Amino acid sequence: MANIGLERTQRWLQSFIITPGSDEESLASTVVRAAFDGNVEQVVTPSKTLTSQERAAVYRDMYLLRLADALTSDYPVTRDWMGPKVFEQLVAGYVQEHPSRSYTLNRLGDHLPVYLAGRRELTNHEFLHALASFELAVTEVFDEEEVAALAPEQIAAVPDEKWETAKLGPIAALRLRKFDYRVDLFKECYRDSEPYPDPTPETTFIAVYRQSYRVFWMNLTEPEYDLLGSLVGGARLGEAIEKACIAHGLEADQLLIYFRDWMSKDLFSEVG
Amino acid sequence: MSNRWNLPNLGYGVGLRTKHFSHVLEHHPSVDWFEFLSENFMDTGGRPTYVLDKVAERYPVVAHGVSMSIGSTDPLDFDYLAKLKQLAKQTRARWVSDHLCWTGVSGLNVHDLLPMPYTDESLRHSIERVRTVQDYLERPIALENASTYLEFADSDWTEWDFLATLAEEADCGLLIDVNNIYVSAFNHGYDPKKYIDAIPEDRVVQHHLAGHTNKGTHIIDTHNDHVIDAVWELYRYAYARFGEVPTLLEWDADIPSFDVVHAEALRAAEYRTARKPVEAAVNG
Repeated sequence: MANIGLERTQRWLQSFIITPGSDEESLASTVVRAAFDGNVEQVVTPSKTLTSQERAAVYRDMYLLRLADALTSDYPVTRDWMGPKVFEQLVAGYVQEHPSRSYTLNRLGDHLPVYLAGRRELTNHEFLHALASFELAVTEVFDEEEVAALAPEQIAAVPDEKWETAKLGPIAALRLRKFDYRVDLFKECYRDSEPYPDPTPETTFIAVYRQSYRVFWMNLTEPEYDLLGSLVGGARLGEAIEKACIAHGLEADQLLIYFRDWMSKDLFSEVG
Repeated sequence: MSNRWNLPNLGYGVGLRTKHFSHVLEHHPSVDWFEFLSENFMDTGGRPTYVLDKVAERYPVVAHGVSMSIGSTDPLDFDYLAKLKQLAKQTRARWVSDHLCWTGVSGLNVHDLLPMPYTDESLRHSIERVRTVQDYLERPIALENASTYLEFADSDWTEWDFLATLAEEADCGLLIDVNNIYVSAFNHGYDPKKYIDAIPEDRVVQHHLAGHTNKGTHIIDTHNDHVIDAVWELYRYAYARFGEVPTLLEWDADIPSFDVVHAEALRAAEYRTARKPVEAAVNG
């Protein structure tokens, strides 16, 4: 019996659980030995069926499985495209760099897209970065605060002459993203159990949004993306339309069609 | 006998799980009550919050957490506790529960219910923190016995004496998970009835039941199957000692239809009899 106290006992077990490598490598690591530099049997008793090390390893084995499960629920398509084995290896490296510091697992995967972008050893790491970024946007929209969308009577109450200078506030559950790949196709293939296409670069503009507590996404043209981006950024409607018309050589009427479509999808919560 | 806070006997409840959201909202099943996992409804404003609000309008609910980390040597997370307090208020949770465990130190969370060394130091530490949490939440909490897979060489208390003393000294409630007693008894080679016999009955406010996975050398608390017969018999023994206590069936992996989970919860009624308890078969 080592009598190492509560704080060192907890540091020892946690370090053993999260340190990568084999159980033996973890036990021999500097961080584990810094908590307690002795034999595992001095900290954990054996049972009739398991050694001290095997008993502690039960927690170690469950650690990565639990975190991989959490990341799978946030990144199902990324995992499916990579394959479970490669994904699990990725998770092991990822949580080493970005361990959970929160009471919730919901935000564990927030850094995964950036982490993937840096994994140059992975085939198609740029595509994986885009795909994971899309899945992260979906998760963010799912979790955002519910904000009431503009009601038809609120829209109707705005005098015609005010629309040009009106500013529109977006709902919280809206993300605008530009990708270098058609990541939406991969998500749809996953949903429909269809084979994935080859990931070939193609500039793609997507709005991810939530309506009646369900998450949707829609592809945007570049003018739509620019106009919606301007409005979300706080530009007045008239200025945003004019800017988009000049940049893309379109008529204002065309942009107003886009605008009406977004209103019908409840993308705005305020007008003022 | 009833608990010392006169918290109600809610009957037979089911854990609220995402897979069943639509079923519960559309069919309003005649389940007595729901327990929700507190952390799953913090920091989200979408469908989960909407569903929980709807469920709480119609059914009694209880908030059950996994991240309070009452035994950790890290400072208590008051940001977490503030959200828990708000969530419990918003849902009119009948009570709030978590586990006798720690989930991380040095600012990390490994998201597991890690075991405590049962020492005087741990006991003093846990009592102090339970009191602080209860003062902050302005209500008693119920602590659950977690399934454990190791024992510390330092421990000089049994788990049941530690838990009973903690509850008395900190003046908190207990959520006695009958399956967890069975799992830990198997893993550590003790008599599960001894555990139940040592628990002060007026502090027990809730039971949990669940399925597990027997690996031969040890049992993992997986919540992925029906409750096994030996655990049901242990539940009968617990009923004989604790009486009418609200009982909740947990099913968290390979989750079947709501009706199957609910039917499993209702099986508890068959074991609420005054018959002489049958020996629970536990191999150590």
